[in-house]
This record gives sequence, C-alpha cells and structure tokens, in this order.
Amino acid sequence: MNLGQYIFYRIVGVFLQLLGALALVFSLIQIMISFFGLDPTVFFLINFRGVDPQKKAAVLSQLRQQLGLDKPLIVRYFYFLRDLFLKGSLGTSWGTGLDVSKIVADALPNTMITFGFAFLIYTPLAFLLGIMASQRRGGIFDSFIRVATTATYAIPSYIVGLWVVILFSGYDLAPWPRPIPSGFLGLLRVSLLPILVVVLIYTGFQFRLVRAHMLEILQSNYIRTARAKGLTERTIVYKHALRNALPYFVTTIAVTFPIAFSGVAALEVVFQIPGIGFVMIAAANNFDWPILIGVTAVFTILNAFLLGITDIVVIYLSPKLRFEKRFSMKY
Amino acid sequence: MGIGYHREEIAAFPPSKFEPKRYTWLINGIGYLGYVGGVLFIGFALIIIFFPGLRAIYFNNAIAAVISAIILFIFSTWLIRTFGVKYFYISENAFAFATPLGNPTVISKDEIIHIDIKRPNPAMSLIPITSPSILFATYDELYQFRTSRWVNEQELLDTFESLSQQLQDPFAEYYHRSKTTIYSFLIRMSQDTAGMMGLTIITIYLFLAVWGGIAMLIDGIKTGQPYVLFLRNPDFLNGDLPGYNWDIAIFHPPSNDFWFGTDFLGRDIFARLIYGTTFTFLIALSGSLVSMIIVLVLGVSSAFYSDWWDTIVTRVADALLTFPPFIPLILISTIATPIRLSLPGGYFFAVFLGMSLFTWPLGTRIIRSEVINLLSNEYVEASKQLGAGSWHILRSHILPKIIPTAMILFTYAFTDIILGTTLLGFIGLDSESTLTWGSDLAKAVKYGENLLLRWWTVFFPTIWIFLLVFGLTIFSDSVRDNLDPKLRGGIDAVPYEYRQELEGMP
Repeated sequence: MNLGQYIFYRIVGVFLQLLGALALVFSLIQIMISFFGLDPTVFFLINFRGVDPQKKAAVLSQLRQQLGLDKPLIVRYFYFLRDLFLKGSLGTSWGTGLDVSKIVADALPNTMITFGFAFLIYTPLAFLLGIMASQRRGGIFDSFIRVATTATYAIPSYIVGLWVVILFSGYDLAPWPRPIPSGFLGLLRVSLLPILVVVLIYTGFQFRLVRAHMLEILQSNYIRTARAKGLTERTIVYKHALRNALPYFVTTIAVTFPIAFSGVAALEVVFQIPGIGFVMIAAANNFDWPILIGVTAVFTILNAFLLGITDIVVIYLSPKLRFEKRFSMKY
Repeated sequence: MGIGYHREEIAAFPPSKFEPKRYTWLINGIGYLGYVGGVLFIGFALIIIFFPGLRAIYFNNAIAAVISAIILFIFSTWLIRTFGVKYFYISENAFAFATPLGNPTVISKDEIIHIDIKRPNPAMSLIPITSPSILFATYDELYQFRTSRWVNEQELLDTFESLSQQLQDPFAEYYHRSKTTIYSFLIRMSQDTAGMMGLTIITIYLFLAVWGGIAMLIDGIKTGQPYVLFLRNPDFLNGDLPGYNWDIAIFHPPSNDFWFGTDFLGRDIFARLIYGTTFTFLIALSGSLVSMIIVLVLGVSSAFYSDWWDTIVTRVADALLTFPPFIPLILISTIATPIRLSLPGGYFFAVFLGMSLFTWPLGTRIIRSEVINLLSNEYVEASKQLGAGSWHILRSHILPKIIPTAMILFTYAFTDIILGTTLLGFIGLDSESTLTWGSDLAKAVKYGENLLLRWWTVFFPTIWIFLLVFGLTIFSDSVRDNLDPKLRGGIDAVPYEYRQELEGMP
C-alpha cells in the first residue's frame, strides 16, 4: 500500500469512525427512551406542576414535536448529520434557545488559549526531561524526576487547581470570582494559573511515555552496534536514537493531547473559565441535551481527526509500517 | 541470649526458601511512608513560608511541620534499619542481597575473596543507626552490608561459613528453576520499594473501607446514633451534641472530637471520608471486575472467532476510542439522570453503566492482540494437531498467559473508576443518597467562603484522594514493571536469575 492510498483509506476510516461514534451517542438516547421508559421532555415537567394531566400531555406532545423527538431515531440522526455537515449547525439549545454551534464557537477559544499555551510548554519540557532521564537511567536525576512525575501524574487536575486557587488567592492572578476580562492579554493573564496546573500535571504524563519509549530504543541492537562502532554518545542519541524514536514521539503527543484537553475541561469548573468543559458540565447539570451532543460531537471530531493525522504522520515517518496489514495507532 | 542479626533469613538459606521475614514488608512500607510524610511536611512548611497570606496565619504550624518531619525521618530510618527486610538470593554461582535503603547488589561466588565484620565505635553503638556491618571484598569492590544490632561475631562468621558452603550446592540451580511465574513475581514485588509503599497505602484504605462498611451495616439497624463503631455518623449534625451549639459545630477546625474538622452543616469530615472510601471501593471493585469480565470475554472471543464477530468488536471499539476520556462518562451519567436521582443505588448504576460501556475498548484491544500472538505459537499448533479442542487450548495455553495482562488492566481500571467517580461527584453529577468524595469537595468549595481560613474543608479531602490515587498508581506501575520486564525496558526490572542471560555476567 503506498502512502497516497493509505491516506485515502485513513480519511475514509476517520469519517466512518465519526459516524459510528455519533450514532452511538444517538442510540444512547433511544436506549434511555425505549428501555427505561424515560423521555427527555420529563425534565420540562417541573414547569407544569399545577397544570391538569390532559393539558400537560398535550403540551408535552407539542414540545416533543417542537424538539423533533417525535421522529424516529434514524431520521433524527440523519437530520443532525445533514445540519452538521451542510450548514455547520449543531441544533438549538433547549435551555437558552441559542444556536449550539455559536455557544461552542464562543467557548472553544477560551479553552484553546489555556490548552494551547500549556501544550507549547509541556511538550518540549517533557521531551527534554524524558530524553535526559533516559540517558541517565537509575541516576539521581532520573529517580527524582520519576518520583516527582509519578506524584503529579496521580493527582486529578481539578484538585491541583483547587490548591492553586487557594494558595494564590492573595495575589491578583486568580480569575475567580472577578468577571472575565475581554481581550487576548486579559484572557492570558487569567489563564496563567490553569496553564501552570496543566503544565505541572501533563509534563509528568508525557515524560513517562517519552522515557519508556526512549529506553526501549536505547536497548535495541542498532544502538549497541553504534556503540560498538565507537560513536560518541551525542551522535548515538541525536542521530540514531531520536530519529527512530520520532514515530513513537508523534504517537506520544497524540495520546497525551485528548487527555490533557479533558484535564483542561475539568479545570475550567474550578477556575470558572467559560470554556468548552464549563459549558458541557453546565449543560449536563441542566440536562441541555443538544449542547451535550454538540460538545461531544466537537470533541469527537477533533479527536478522530487527531488520530487520523497521527496515523498518517507515523506512516510517513516510518515506512516499514506501511507493509503491515492493518495499522492503527498503538496506545 | 538471642543475637540481633536476622537469623531467620540466614537460617532459611536453602535458596528455594528465598523469603524475607513474613509481614516485614509492612514495616518497610510504614517506614517509607514515614519518609514520604516527612517530605510532605517539609513541603507544607515551604508552602506556608512562601505564601504571605498563609505565613501570616500559620507560621507556627510551619515550624511544627519541620520538627515533625525531622522526627519522622529519624523514626523511619530506625524502623527500617532495625526491623525492616533484608533480602538474600543465591543461585549456583552468584550471591545477591538487597538492603532496605540500598540498591540490590549481585556478587559472583568466585569474586568473594574476603568476609569481614566491621564493628562500630562502641560509644556510638547506643544510637540505633550505627550498627555493625559485614564487609564483602571482591577483586574490584568492597560491599558493606549493615546489620541491625550488636551481633555475636563468631556466630555470624559461622553463618557465613555455611553460607559459602551453600554457595557451592550443585543443585542450587534447580531450586529456583521450579518456581512459578507468580512466585517469582511476588518475590520481585516484595523487593520493589514503590510497589510495597503502594500496597501499604491500599491496605490501609481497604481496612478503613471495611470499617466504614461495617459501621454502615450497624447504622442501618440503629439509625440516628451520633457514634457508630467508634466513628461519628457521617450524616449526624453535630450542632445537636452536648457541648456544641450550631455556631461552634459548623466549620469546627480539627480537634480531638473532630479529627479533620466539620463541614458547612457541622458534619464530621473524617467520618464522611471513611464512608466515602467504602462507597468508592465498592464502586471501583465491582466496576473493575465487571469491566475485566467484559474485556476478557470480548478480547478472547474476538481473537478466537476471527470472522464477523471480530470485525464487529474491533469496529465498535474503534468507534468508542474516538471519544476523549471521561466525556462518555459524563454523557452516560447525564442520560441516566432520572435513575441516578430516583433510585437509592442509582449513582452506582450510572457510574457502572458508563464505566463498563466505555472502558472496555482499550483493554479488549490489548487482550485481543495478545491472544492472537499466543495462538500463532507452534505449541498451540502442535496441540491442535494432537486433537485438542478449543476449550483445552483456551484453558491450558491462553488463559494462564494472559493473567498478568489482565492484572495490569484490572489495576488501571480500578484507578480510572475511582478518578471517574470523584470527577462525577465534583462536577455535580451525584445523588443526594450517595456519599462521595467529589461531591463533598465541591460543596466545601461552594459553601466555605474563605478557604484560606477554613482550610480543613478542602485540605483533608484532597489529600485523602491524592494519597489513594498515588498509592494505586505506584502499585500498578510496580505490578506492570515486575510482571513484564520488557515494558520498562531496563535491566533493573529483570530478576537476577535472568540477568546472566541478558548481560553475560551477573
């Protein structure tokens, strides 16, 4: 299989995965409605407490018609896909009546600022530390970094966020409980603490992966041959080991990416940043089903494309994988 | 007059009996936990001194923390040096030992040219840290092996005499060859400091969870008591207690009565944390068991019947893997909102459903690829040619080999479910009838107005969660490293018996 064919098949695969994942989300609602006998509209009942049952039923059926829940599942699914791919619309929020794609588009930059800056810091840092630690395996530096990263890796991000909020509450850095300032610089200043937390945690996460891959490569036969040839350590690491490690490293970045993104989303509750995680959790508490589906769809689309691009890059970097029957990303 | 040297290890020297003193790993674990506690104390002190807001209020606590840290360090060192495990390992031509605070060392039998006893200064021998030590001299290095207390020199030398005779035992090789994988895994685990620390933490939490569970059962019979099994009732509002009125009982700082303080309703935080431990362990244990069963059944069956069933399983797994982590859990929990809010065990059900529906793809993939690799072995082919059925192949060739992977996946699933339940509680997808750490934490943040003054409402729950997850993480890492040395890719993960084959020399 040549590279062009592979890219074509992989892109088709991404779309199929995406359709499957969205179908799963839709069938979950149907499972809830048909197996548990629960209707999403019962959450509106709280507004009709005093109304007589006949009228309530009429209102509910009207509501169901308005929300499009009277149509069969497959029809709703294809309507959703049509709106998503042709109009770029994700439906209308039940709670606020706003367009979900507008809500997501408003929220996404706030998340992206935090995540983007953190990503730009933690990735080089983790690679630097990982490569250094793997060269000094068993030494003091390696042991110290390993213990420290295990500790940071074990803490959930929102707990570190809480600690940071409490500790820095005396300074002018915490966004909470002030109103969020507008403008890029204001957002950056507010995002300083979340960025710190994300860097602290996900440096450790990525460091562990990088170190493990690097050790695996440094144990391999061609490195031994290079040593036997009498090459310098610098040449061995930077010319032989790192080049062969590149596909692994791309995979490592791709594995850490969605996990760190979810961590940022959970942090937004603590720091009260109106990002995509904040919106999603608020929607989950209000049972705003279209927002939930929309945010999940956006997350899933991002993730699916990330996986697809990673596979293509890995295949491009490492030609021997092209001859394997069915390649997909190794977790 | 018993000698202070650990005779048990020396006496148990037929190398087949390579076992440290039973239960001494617990002492080691406690000692190392003491070190961790000391580091944490110093960290707290540094944090307090660094931040001006904290320094103004809690400066005395910082000094107390530093003093406690020093006491902890001394105590832990004494505990490990005196009662901790010392390991010996003998093969046909090598002698290995590990001291609690040092790296494992391997000495070839031929290398030992001299054994000597080094006595400390008698004036210093009252301090438990200074103790006699054994010196091994080899051609290029000198190994010092510290003993714990004052020893009878002659008796020790006799013991080493017999030791050197044991070294020449021609059958020594066969003793450890007969050991099973699980046995050598347990030995390696018991040598792993981090793993033992993790196991100690998990054991302590398990005891607390059992305590909470029994108290919960008793509480079901006699409800409304302020104390249940020496534990405060977690729902009891302490404002009703004699000696406390509502103003005092709400946000009461840590004291003799309330070890971790009280929360915004005057409930005991310590009791709530222990009851939460019970709930969390129940969810995590049952959830990870069910998840493991799903993973094993799907993984093995899809590898065995590789036609349409395999295609369906792998495609669905691919689709599920496109979801980022924890997003599906939130989704499922939201879908199951009516169940979560109405049924008494509805929270369990929601978490359970979410976890078992969405955590299987990764494990199934791993198990599936492993089984496919195993099935391509020649001995499986030979077994097939001899007429073995698939059940026989499964039972005798496949299942025993995937137990290590299943154990690793189990520990990961356990940790993931604990993190997931805590996250769900924290973001408000909990139910009133279920007590979880996450929802308690969220309420502490919501209702405690000045968290710097009411630090105990956040500090203790977060440390409680962190310690458990930290213990689980280092334990699962250690299980992974010791079960599959290839995964870590380091020689220090390889047991001594295989090192020779790998490096040529021990």
